Amino acid sequence: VRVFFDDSQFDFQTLRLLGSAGSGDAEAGEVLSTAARITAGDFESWTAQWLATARRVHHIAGECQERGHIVSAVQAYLRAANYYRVAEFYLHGDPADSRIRQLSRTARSCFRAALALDQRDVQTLVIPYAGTTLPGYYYPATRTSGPAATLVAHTGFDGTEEELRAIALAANVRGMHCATFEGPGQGAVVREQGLPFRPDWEAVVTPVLDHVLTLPGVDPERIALLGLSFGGYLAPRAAAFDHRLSACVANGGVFDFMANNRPAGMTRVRIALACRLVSRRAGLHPRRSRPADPLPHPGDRRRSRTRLRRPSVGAVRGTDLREDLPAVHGRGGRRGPLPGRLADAVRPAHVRLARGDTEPDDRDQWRMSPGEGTGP
Amino acid sequence: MSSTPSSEKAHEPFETTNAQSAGRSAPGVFKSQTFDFQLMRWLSQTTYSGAEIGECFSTAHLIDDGNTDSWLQEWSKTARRVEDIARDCARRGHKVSAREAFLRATTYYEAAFFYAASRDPRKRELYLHHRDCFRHAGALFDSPFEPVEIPYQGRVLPGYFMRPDNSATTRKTVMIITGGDGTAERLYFNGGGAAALRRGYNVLCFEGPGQTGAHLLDPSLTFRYDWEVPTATAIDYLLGRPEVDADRIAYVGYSWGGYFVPRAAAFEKRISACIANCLAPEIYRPVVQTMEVEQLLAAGQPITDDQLTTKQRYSIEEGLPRFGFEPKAENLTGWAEMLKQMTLWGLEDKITIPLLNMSAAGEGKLMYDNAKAFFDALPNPRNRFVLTNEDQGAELHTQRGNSSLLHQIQFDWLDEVFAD
Repeated sequence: VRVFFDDSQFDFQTLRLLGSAGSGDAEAGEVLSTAARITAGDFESWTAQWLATARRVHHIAGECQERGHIVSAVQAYLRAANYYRVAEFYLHGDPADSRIRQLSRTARSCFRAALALDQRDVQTLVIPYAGTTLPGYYYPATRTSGPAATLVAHTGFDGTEEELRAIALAANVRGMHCATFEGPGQGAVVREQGLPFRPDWEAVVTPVLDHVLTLPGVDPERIALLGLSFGGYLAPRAAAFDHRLSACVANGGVFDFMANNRPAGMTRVRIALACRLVSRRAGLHPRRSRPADPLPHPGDRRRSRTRLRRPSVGAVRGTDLREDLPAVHGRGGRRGPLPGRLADAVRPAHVRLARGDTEPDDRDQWRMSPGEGTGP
Repeated sequence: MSSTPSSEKAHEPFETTNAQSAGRSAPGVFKSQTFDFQLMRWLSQTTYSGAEIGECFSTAHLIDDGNTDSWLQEWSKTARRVEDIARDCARRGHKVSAREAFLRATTYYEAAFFYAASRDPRKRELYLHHRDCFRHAGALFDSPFEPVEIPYQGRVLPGYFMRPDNSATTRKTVMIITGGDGTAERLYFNGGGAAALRRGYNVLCFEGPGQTGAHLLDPSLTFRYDWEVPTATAIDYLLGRPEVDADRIAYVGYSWGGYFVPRAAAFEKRISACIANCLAPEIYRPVVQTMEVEQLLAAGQPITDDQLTTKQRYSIEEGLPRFGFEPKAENLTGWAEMLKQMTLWGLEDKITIPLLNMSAAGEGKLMYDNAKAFFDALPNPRNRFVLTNEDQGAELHTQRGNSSLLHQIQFDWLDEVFAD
C-alpha cells in the first residue's frame, strides 16, 4: 500500500518509522508532518527534514530532563533517537560524509540518555568478538524468578539494534529476557569499525552466545535467536551451526538470498558486482580485505541445508524440519503486531513445527504450532 | 505529497472556521475531510497500544471514500479479526498479547460505530463490543481497571477507575472527560489515562449525561449545560476512595469538554487544577460552523436526507438525540437554543484554580480567538496557554496525531502545579 510518497523507497522507510509509534519511538503527527515537507526521491531533503524534527524533539527531551519530567524526557529522547536514525538513512552515497557518524552517534546517545533516565535496568553490552567488540543491550525481564528464557535479537541489512527495543519490551512483558546486538555489517559496527557483513553468521552468533550465557538470569536451555529482514537469512544460518539455540525466528525467512529476493532480470553475478561497487563506494569494505560478498555462497546454501535441513519455514517446502528448532516466519511487512506474536511464538516448548504443508503461500503471515498446522 | 505547499504561517491558527482542518499531519488517505481526521484519531492511538499503523491503513484503503456504511463495515471486520486474535491469545494463556489485541479491538469497534446514528441498532451492538474488549483488556493489566458506575440522580454514569499499582497509597488523581463524541474507554488512550498512570496518577475516565456511552446505555441521560452537577457526583465517588488525595484532583476535558470542565470548575470547588483542550467559552457558533448546520438553521424549511452532507447528517442523527430531541432537521432550532445556553462568558472570575489551555492551529481562528479572549480574562497566575502547530505535527483538533507531545505538555504542567 502506498501511503506517503510516490517513491516506494521513501514510502516504505516512512511506514517503517510510523510502525514504531506503537512502542513510543515515533508519533504519527510528527512523522506525517515531516514527510509532507520532503521532496520525494530527494535524499538531501529527506535528511534535512528529519534532522529538523529530530532536533526539535531532542530539544524537548533536554528541557523535560532539566525540569525533572522523567517520563516525558524518556519518551522524547526515544523519538529523537529514531528521527536521527532516519535522517542518517540515505547518507551513504558519500562515505566521507561526516554526518553519517555524527547523526548515528547522536541517535545512539539520545537512545542511551533515554535508557539512563528510565526506571528499567537495561545494560549496555560490550561483546568480545574477533579481537574487537560488538555493541549490545541486555533487557532483563522484570519479575522473573530463577533462570528465564532469553531472546537474542539482531536486525538485518540497514537497521540498528536500537530499533529492536520494541521487540525486547515485547519479550520482557512476556517474562523473557532479551539481548540485542549488532554484528559485522550492521549499525555502529559498520559505521564505527568498518567491518562488513560475513555470510558465516555463526562466527558472530557464537561469541555473542558465549557472552549472553554470562548474563544474570539467562536459562542456557532456552535461548532463541531472532533475525529481522536480511537477518532472516543470518539467524537461521547461525542456528544451523550453533546448537545452543533452542528456537529461531526468521522475519522473514530467507533460504537463499539470491533465489528469493532477486530483482527481476538481475543475475547473481550482476547483483554481486553491484553490491561490491556500492560497498566500495560506501567505504564499508576496505579494499585490502578479502573481496566482500555480502551474500551467502552456493556452498553455504548446501552446507546450510545439510546442517539445518530446512532453515526457515517460509522459504522451503518439505517436512523434515529439525524437530527441536521451532521457527516462525512473517511476510508482508506488517510491522505492528509482529513483535508480540513473535515473542509468543518463541516461547520454548510451546511451539513445535507441525509436520505437513509448509508451502509458502499468499497469506500475509502464518505460523505453525502443535495440532494447528498452518494458520493465519 | 512533495507538492504539498508549506505553510508560512505555521504559528498562527489556520484561516478557517473548521475545527477539523488539517495541515501537514493529515494522513491524506481520504478526500472526505472528516474521514481523514477520524482516521488520524485511530491512528494516533498507537502511542498507547490502542491501534497499529498497518491495521489502520489497510482498513482505511478498503473504505469507499465518504461512505459511512462502508466505513462501518470495514472497521467492523478489522475489529472482529483483532478481537479474535485477542480471544485466541487469551485462551492460549498469552496474557500480554491478549491485552494488547483487546486494546486495539476497542479502538476499531469505536471507529466502526463512529458514524452510525443512535437509532441504528448496529451502533449499540458495536459499542458494547467496544466496551467489552476494553474491559477484557483492563482486567489483564497488573493493576486491573475497575469499571465504575457513578450514582447520578437515580441513574448511573459509566467510567473506569485506574491506579498505577495495587497499593492503597494516596495519590494525585486526574478526572478525564471527552466532549460531543468519544467514550470513557477511548480516554485511556489519547485522553491521557495511560499517560497519567505512567506518571503516578490515579485516573477516573468517565462519561457525563449525553456523552456517547452514557447516552447509548441510558437514552434518558442527555446533555446539560450545568456540568458541575454530574461532576460533583464523580468527585463524591472519588472522595470515597482511600487512594485519592482530596487536595490534588485535576479535571481534564477534550473538545466540548473544553466547555464542560471550566464550567464545572467555576462552581465545584473541590477541583484543584483543570485542563481545557481547548477552552470553549461558547459552543453554538463553532458547532454550527464546523458541522455545516448554519445554512440549515438559516434555511428555515424542511430538508430531505439526500440533501445533507455527511457532517450535517451526523449532527442531526447523532447530535440531536443527545440533547433529548428526535433526530429530525426540524428540531435543529430547539437544539441550537440549548447550545446557546452553553457559554462560559461571564464566569471568568469564578475560575480561580490553575488552568491549562491546549489549542491546536487546525481548530481555526474562531475557536482560537474565543479561547484566547477567555483565557486572558482568567485570574490565576499559574494559568498557561499553549497553541500547537503543524511544525510539531500537532495542528489537529485536540492534538490528534501527537499524544506524546500533548501528554508531555499537560502532565508536566500538572506535575509542576501539584508540586507547589
